[in-house]
Amino acid sequence: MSQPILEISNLHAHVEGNEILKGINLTINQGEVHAIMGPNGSGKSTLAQVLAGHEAYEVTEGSVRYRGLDLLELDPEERAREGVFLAFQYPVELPGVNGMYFMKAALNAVRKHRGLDEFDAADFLTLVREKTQVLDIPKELLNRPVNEGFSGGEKKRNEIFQMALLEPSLAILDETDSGLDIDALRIVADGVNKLKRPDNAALVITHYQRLLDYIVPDFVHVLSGGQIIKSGGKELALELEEKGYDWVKELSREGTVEAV
Amino acid sequence: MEVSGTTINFENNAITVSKKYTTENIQQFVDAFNLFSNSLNGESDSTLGAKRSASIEHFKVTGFPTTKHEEWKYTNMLPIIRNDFHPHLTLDQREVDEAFIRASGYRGEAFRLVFLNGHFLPEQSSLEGVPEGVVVTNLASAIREKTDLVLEHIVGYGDSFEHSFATLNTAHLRDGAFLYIPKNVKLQKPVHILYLTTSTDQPVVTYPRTLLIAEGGAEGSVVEEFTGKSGEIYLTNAVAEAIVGENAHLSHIKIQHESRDAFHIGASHAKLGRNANYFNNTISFGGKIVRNDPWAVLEGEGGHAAVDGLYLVGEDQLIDNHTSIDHTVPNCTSHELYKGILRDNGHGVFNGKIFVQKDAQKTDSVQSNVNLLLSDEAEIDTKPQLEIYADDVKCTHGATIGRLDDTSIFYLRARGIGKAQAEQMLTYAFAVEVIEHISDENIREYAIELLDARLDK
Ligand SMILES: Nc1ncnc2c1ncn2[C@@H]1O[C@H](COP(=O)(O)OP(=O)(O)OP(=O)(O)O)[C@@H](O)[C@H]1O
Ligand SMILES: [Mg+2]
Repeated sequence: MSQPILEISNLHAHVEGNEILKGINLTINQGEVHAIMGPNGSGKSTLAQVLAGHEAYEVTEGSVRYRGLDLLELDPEERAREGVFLAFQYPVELPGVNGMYFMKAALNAVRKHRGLDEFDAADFLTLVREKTQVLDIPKELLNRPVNEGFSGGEKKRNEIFQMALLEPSLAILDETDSGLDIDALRIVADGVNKLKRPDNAALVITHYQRLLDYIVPDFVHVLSGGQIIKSGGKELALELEEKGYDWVKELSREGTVEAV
Repeated sequence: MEVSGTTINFENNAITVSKKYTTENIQQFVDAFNLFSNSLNGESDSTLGAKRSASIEHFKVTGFPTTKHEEWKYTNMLPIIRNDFHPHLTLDQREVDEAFIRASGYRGEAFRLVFLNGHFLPEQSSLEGVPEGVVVTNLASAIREKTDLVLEHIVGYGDSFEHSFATLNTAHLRDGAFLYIPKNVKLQKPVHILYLTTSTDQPVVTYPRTLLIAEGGAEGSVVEEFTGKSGEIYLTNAVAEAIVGENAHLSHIKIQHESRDAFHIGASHAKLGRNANYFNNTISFGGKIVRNDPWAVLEGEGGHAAVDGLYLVGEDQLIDNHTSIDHTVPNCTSHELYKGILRDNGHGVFNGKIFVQKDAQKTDSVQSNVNLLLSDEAEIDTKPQLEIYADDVKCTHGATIGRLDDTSIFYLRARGIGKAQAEQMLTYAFAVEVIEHISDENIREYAIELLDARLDK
């Protein structure tokens, strides 16, 4: 049996006085891909942001263990250095911050933490060249200020490029597929699949079954009203596509909540 | 007429003690002037001499502005003028600290004029390859060799500044920098004017004067740089004048990174001819009390003035920018962007005036002042001002005061970048926009180096 990477138990979180997460339980083991689906406003991004350490969200109850660490105790940068990566649903534009400079700073912060030598400009360039080829990202994009004026799809691809550089242990993809054209979707999915190793894991938030044709999940969870109301295998996504969320909500009201 | 803008005006409610300066404060500067004047040995009989005398007489009447004066409301002169400043009348070669000079200032490609305590250092300057007809020299030489040209401008309107410090500068006018670019000549390299100050035994005051003339169709780029030995107390009281002829392009950059215990007062005045293009960029990093008064007057149709500035105000520092852009004729444009970073208990002041005179129809002017407040103890007083006397114009102005964006900080941290570094990166990103307006790549990189060094502290 493989080791758990992430163990979320009874996680409650507030934002501006409103309880958004109302007792999340979820365990992700090494080598697994989990998908989270659920209606708009159900708390999917909130969960992702809480895991990444956003200070606007206050955890009021529960715990999160990540590779033996108390994740909630760590600053956002410490989590990132420990291998947690969040591909944002809405990547932030940073006018004036050069993309290459930003990623070199990030990569070196992570490497330093892991006791590795920092990359100099030449090494970094080589690595960037390699990753941009795999992900088919135009290099010009990286020399521009981070995400500034990027199209929706370009922003998402840039997130995946960052992920490829940082090689996380736990990748959380928050609707990385929305805004991507069909080719980009395949490229991004390929990129994610290439990163898959027996000792890491991914949590993929999506609204569309289509992505899951490319990134095949081991488990699918439905998050609704701040709780996981149903979990199943990859076929659950198909069922949801067909029947909609009301069907699961109905089931959960009947008291058949399943958890992994 | 279209006028729009948002103004956030943080008036300082603290009671400013507005002391009337004593006659002693003024007399001290007059005495110093007399010493200076005697040291000129008869040179004071010239037209320039008369100009100097008239200026000191004028100063005796006006004295220094107090904080009761609207234009000097936030900048109390007393901490400056109560120092016993001495003009540095002669330079002993033994005072020339070559290591210090070599280590100071921009070292990239340029024609270079170097001054120490107001004295020209020909040996430290580099003027090889100045194109035929172009004059890059110290002002004292220009006064001897291009007398009429210099007097026409300096005596012509040099005292049009309503500014006691500028008047004092004219009274002490002896040396400084001079650039003349004749008709249609395009200067390939920038002219770097380095004003260095070091107070040896006593606090020194210098009165550097810069005169820049770009004739019709000429193009050039100038960077005036002011710096000194760190920790030393001195006063730089500088004046620059720029004449930008018809269709001429002049870029006039000022980089000030004086000693943190020094004082810097600098005024500049640019006159733009028909279709002239003038770019002024005032970057302030140093000094304990700093005051910049850049002033651009559009005198010919089709002219464009870009007036930019960056100020980084830290602990126990006051940086006050009072800018004026004066549209006197129709069909001109102006663009102004001043950005400020305020840290610790730093105090910044921005006052930007755009005048649109009665005849200046079809003026198109944009002004903005953007401030980044990084500390609760820091203070910014900002006042963008439009004075419009024409009716068919388009003017916008505005001022904002903000903090670093939490979402941006989180994004950087979520990639492993520490909080302090994230804040520094975003502060840099905020400031660099102004520096990016500098077209010369080497100077731009130099300004970025200085910014980085200041942000590291
Ligand atoms: N900073 C905030 N302030 C106030 N409310 C917030 C904040 N962040 C999230 N919320 C609220 O929390 C709820 C959950 O939001 P969240 O972004 O987690 O939903 P989601 O499941 O990701 O939805 P979507 O599918 O639309 O992306 C929403 O009702 C949202 O309005
Ligand atoms: Mg979401």
